[in-house]
Amino acid sequence: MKLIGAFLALCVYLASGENCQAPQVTSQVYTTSEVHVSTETVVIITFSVQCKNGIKDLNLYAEFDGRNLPASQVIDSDQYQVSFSIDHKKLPAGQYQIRFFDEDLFANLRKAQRSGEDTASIQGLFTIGFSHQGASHGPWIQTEHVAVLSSVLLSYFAYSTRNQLQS
Amino acid sequence: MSSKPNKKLTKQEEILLQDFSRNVSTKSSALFYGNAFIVSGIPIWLFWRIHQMDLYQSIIFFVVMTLVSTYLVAMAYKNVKFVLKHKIAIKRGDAVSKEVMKKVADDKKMSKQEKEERILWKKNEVADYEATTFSIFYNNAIFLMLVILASVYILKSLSPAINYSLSMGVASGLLALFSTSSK
Repeated sequence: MKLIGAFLALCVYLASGENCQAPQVTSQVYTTSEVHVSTETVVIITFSVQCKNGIKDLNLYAEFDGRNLPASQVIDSDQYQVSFSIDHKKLPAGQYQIRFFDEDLFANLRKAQRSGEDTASIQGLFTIGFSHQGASHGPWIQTEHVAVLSSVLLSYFAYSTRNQLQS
Repeated sequence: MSSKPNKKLTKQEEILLQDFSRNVSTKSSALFYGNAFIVSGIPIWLFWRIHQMDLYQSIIFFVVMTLVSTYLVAMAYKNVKFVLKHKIAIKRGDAVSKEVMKKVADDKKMSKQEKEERILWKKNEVADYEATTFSIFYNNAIFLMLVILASVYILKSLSPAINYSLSMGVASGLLALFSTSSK
């Protein structure tokens, strides 16, 4: 009995040790700022995770707007990266949250998605918030048109003044 | 010698003015070539920074076309100045005469002929200065407009080096051509 008890305690201990406890996250986020250089808005999140219980090499997954994205890990470091692209109109300027899951929590998420349940209530490992300033369409009138218009107006003024002098 | 009331210059005044304007002074020439060089250099910045032409790789194009354009634009300056000078002299003649007469009216030592020569000289100076400055302004405006139109719209699909060469050549060539008009 004692052996079974010890064995069970060991199993519990090992099972709890696989999950990241109280993760400390630092992140950097890039989002597309100009429409002219991209057909879609790209979001790239680079982050590092430190677990209180020292767990490393996590398999992490992100969820954003119903899309599941795997996080890539930089070899031999605690840095991860997640990126995705989305139509400019679907990501206007504003504040956004992206949830991250480890394997177990991601399994819960997938289960909820498959059964059509509301996934907002599924607990994630952590969340990263980012601000998107919006993809700019540039000035209303392009600068070369302004330059052409100005030069034409100036030339017209010069030409009409010359005509006046010669009249 | 006196001016006719219908403001047209007399034959002698006409000849005098022509004599003056034939002597394109060194200072005037330097002014024209200096200005032409500066305005011909302006499109280099446009093509270097906007059309992304490499400055050092395209140095030959820049140097050659700037020199060609300088020569043609200076020619345009001279031609337009010469045409306008006569017209300006006629337009400003009365005002200049009044101003000079006001200054020399009390001078008893000056003969009438001297006064009239002074008026003529002043007319020439005013006409020369105004024609010079206006010619520079007019030609610069037309040149830059032609360069911008050619490079942004007409020759936009060509490579930047060809775009630069052709837009500079066409702009300065057309400018020189239009300036040869006697009107």
